[in-house]
Amino acid sequence: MKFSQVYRIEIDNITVSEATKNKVYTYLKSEEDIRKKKVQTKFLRTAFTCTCLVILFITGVYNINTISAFARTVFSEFIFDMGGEQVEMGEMHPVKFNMDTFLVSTDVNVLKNDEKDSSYWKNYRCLEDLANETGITMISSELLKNSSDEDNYNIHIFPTYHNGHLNADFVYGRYHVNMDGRFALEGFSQDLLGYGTSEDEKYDSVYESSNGIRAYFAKSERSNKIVFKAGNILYQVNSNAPIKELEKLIDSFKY
Amino acid sequence: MEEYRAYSNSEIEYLINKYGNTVYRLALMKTKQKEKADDIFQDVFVRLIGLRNRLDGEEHMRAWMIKTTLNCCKDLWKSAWNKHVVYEQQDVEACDEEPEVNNDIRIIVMGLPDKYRIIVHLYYYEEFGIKEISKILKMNQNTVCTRLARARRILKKEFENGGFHYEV
Repeated sequence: MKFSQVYRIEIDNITVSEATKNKVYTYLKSEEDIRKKKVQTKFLRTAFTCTCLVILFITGVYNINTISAFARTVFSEFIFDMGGEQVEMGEMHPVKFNMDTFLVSTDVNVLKNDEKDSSYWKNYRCLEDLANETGITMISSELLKNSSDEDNYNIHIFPTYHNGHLNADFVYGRYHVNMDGRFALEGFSQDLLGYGTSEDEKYDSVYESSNGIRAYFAKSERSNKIVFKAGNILYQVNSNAPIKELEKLIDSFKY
Repeated sequence: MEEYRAYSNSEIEYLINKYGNTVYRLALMKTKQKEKADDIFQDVFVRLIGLRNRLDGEEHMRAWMIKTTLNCCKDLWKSAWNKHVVYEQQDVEACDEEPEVNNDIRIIVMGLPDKYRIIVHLYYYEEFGIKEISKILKMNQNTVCTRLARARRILKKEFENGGFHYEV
């Protein structure tokens, strides 16, 4: 008998298993799902951009209280983009800010980006001083202690872009908490999509506190990030505290 | 730059049914391990997905399957993991999914050195000629001939020792 015949018969008995084939089919299906999702997200983004452009065009043409009207329209349906998912944050309006009082106050620092674009920042020792001088009430909690005796509360105003930024560092028991707040000023005209988070940052859980805060938790290796809206300020809190402790902290917030 | 289109899922399914066994058998003959042959099988068909307008004709497709399978086998051995891990030589019989089949010949062929085993498989099972094998393996035709002759000599000797009477 010829070797080639026997060898052929033996090798013909080897067949690839259905399980191995199925792995390829599963991979194909998952790739297709990802492709579909990408197309869907792209479509939604394009649709949103088009809507914004149409609104801008209409308000521009008819000159009806243009920019602030547009900002209010956007804020009444404020949507936050987190990891490709659109998160409804409720209404959001420009904050009342005493720009005149702020600019003439002492210790205001000027940051010149170019000839036409300057921003202003100042540090405050306590929340009361910040509120009295600027009119802005930052969220507070009895559980948080300033991380140093220095001026802990920083406010940074960007008049060109009609928005502002708050920042403070705290000690929370044996943990550290960094708080970041963003707000719009009267005349704000940009949409706030992707504000404060990166595109690949998805939230893992949602916590609704007794004081009406809906907080989105995004876990990472080193810390937990929480995104929430309180009043008309969008906050981003980074802390090494465990989620349970952070939920207690959210419950204690006053605004 | 040429843009490659992707195969649809049903087209890939058709190609798996048509060439799947060819790929798997060659991968198994090359690696001698079922798990690795499974991995290579998946790798080959994942590589195929984006090449829809690149492969035309049955012969071209078959040759691509063979070449890519061998390349995937090489990649597997070159990978960082394999560089640092020494696998125990797996018993050839352990690869067999059909224990009732008399696989003495397969065991003998599996026992050939790698450089001879693949040439024997391509020549006797896939029925490629010397010229085609030299193209697939990017090897001089004389080298293929020499290796095939040496493989035959080893096989003859092994058959004699095992009491088989096969014409090589």
